Amino acid sequence: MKYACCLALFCFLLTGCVAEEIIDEVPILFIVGYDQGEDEKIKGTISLQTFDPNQKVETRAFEAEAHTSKGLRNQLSGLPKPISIGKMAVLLFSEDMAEKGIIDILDSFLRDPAAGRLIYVGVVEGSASELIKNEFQYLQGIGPFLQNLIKESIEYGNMPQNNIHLFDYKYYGDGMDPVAPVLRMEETEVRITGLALFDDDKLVGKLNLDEMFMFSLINKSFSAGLYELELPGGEYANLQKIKSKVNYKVKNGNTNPSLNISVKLNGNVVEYTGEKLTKEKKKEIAKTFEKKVEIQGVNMVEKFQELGIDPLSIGDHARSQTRHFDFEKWNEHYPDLPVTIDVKVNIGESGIID
Amino acid sequence: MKWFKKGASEKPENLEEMVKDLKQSIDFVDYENKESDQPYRLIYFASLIDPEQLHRDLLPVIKESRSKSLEDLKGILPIENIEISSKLPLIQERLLEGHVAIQLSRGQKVLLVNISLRKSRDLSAPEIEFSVMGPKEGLVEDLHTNMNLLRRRIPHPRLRMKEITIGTVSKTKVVVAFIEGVASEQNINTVMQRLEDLDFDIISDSSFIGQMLEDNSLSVFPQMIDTERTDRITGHMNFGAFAILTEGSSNALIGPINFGQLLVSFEDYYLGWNIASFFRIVRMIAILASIIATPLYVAVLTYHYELFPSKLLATLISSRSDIPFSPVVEVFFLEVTIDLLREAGARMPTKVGQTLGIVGGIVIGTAAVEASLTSNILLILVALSALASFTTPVYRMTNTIRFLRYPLILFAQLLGLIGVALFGLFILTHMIRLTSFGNPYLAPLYPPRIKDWYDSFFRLPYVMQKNRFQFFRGKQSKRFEDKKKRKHSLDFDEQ
Repeated sequence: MKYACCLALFCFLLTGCVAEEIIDEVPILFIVGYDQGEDEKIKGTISLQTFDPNQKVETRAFEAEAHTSKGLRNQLSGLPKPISIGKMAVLLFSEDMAEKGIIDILDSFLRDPAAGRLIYVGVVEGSASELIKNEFQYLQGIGPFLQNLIKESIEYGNMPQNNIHLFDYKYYGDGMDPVAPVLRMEETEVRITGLALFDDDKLVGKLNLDEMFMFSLINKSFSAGLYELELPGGEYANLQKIKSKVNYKVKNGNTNPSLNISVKLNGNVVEYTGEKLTKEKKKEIAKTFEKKVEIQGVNMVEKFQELGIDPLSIGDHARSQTRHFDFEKWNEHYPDLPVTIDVKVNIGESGIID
Repeated sequence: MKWFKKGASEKPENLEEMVKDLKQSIDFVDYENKESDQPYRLIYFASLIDPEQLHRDLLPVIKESRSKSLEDLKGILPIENIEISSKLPLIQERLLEGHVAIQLSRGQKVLLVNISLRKSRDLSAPEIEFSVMGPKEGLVEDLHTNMNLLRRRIPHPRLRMKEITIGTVSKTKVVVAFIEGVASEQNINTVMQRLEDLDFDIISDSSFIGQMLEDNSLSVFPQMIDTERTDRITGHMNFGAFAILTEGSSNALIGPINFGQLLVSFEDYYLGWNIASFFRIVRMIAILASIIATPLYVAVLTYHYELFPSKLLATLISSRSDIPFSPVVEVFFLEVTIDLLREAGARMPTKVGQTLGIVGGIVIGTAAVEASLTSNILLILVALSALASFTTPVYRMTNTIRFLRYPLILFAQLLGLIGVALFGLFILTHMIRLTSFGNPYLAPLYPPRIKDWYDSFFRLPYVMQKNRFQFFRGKQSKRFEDKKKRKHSLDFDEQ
């Protein structure tokens, strides 16, 4: 009984230690954008959601400059405190910022227990600040909209999985490099234009949408949305529900490495501009697609080798398949690594009126 | 007897003194007939005896008999339960039970004849533990009727009923009923000993005894089941529990129990096993949700807004944007309102109660939201959790659930989810330590008795309910035998 009383008493003494964050009093941020500021400073832009009783969402953007990410918070004097990042969904970086390296800023989020691990990292062509400040006609506001946009491109579209946790993993891991979606602001909308390639934390190159799809296919086992394929006769076929099964084989990882990627694809034809979709035609579509993936895939890997980056985690695959793997030797061999890609395409159904 | 010693009336030394003392009550009768051929004297409480029996069976026999002694009279009276005594305490006790004391000549010896009048209401359907299926037979306030009900349901020689009188003023008769061989002797000894040790003045209801017998009277968890359903009582007795019937109470107490049995409606046994299992699981989820729904609301809204899905955020924040209170105030306001409604509903006559429900539920509810005192999401949560708390089949458990919510809300406000977890652990620890007549409270779960799980959170078909619960540790563990094995051992009713 004595102990119970003490315990109860201590509970009341503890009350001062926990800071309240009542849901309708804290400013909730979904998005923050970083640009290069003056004098080596970082320019941060946030968009704050406010909800009125009619369930309308209004967003207001705030901007500040400081040397560190957390330092920005002090500068945001027009904002009620405490600024809470528990709902943070998207981190945007301008291209020039990304080229300089972004790990310092990401690190501050990774350390913060309040931040989630599923935050998306995006690169903006142009200014992140302008994208956030622009008043689009999105119902939920720019933050949740971008979160949805990226999330759905990953789930149903052609984008490979990425978030702050994976970025961090690929940054620190040997034999791999992170990727992130590239966004562009247009007059009335925001578009995803491709995939940003990083060398550690520095932006070094980009893939366009077509290349991004190829990247997704050979990166990992994956099931993608939709792909329009041009056939030799000038006809077009649309493939849907493409599922890839990928297998990496690295031989002689330490001495004279060579890489073979075997890709098995399953897809359905949902649209075809030619006359009749016969069995032969299906075979032709499969063949064309195989060729395309092979050629584009090899080209893409060669591009990565030239840039000296490894977003496909080939080094990591090699490590897992080689005894006493030596990364120094691997890095020497990597630029000249011979790569072959074997693709097998299987066209499944082509609609309910075959 | 301490109470009496302090009182005004001293112990009477002889019969005349006692009669003089008792005469102070107007319903006490001391009638002496000296004129007739057969002089006699009658002493009784008019309010306790059956006058019809007195005039029809007793007086004519006394008048016509020429017997000179009480022994002769005892031989010819057509009534059972007659005794001759000169012990004053016994005489007084019998008089107070509704006996008539007869004397043929002055002296200390009296003939005590039992012609007590039993007034009890008719049997009625259980009101608190209503069920759609199953027998609609509830206990009444009369002990003999109740015993009759039980005996009719288990017409078996091994159904034992032990009587004990408790209460220095009320002299309440309490009967412990159990099936010998099925109930563990240890449990019976425990309850008998505790009953014998009870020293209290008045026992108004069985719940008095229930509270006094409990292993841990500080606990909010009921350690016995109060029930008015005869099927439930006999069902539990067949598991190996005992039932305590109390004179003047329409509720019996069942013990020992475990926590799971508080969530069992006896109707579960009348439905199919799969349907019943589903309902039990629904009930469990409902109870859990009922306890933690509003504390979670407080914790999440006060400390962990990031747990809320982004899509719900707009709805929630909009509904709360006009409310000037912090979530905990809002929750306390609404929870107390619901409890007020419940209290008021319980005190009011049924018809007024219905109106009250409508006034409270609709008017206060919607008005509170419109006046920006609470958010409508909270209103839904509170209403749902109130509804969920009423799914418990045992009334005392309902109260426990409603009670537990308040400290939990407080903890949620103090420490957020950690507070909720902390209090949850506290409750869990308490329940693990709790016992019901020495039997672990969380029994089939902890200590794990996997063989008992056939009838716990779910119920398997009767074919698979071959054994009685290990929990009760009775001697006869088999409920029925496989036909192949039947020759080798006998069930308790076959010996």
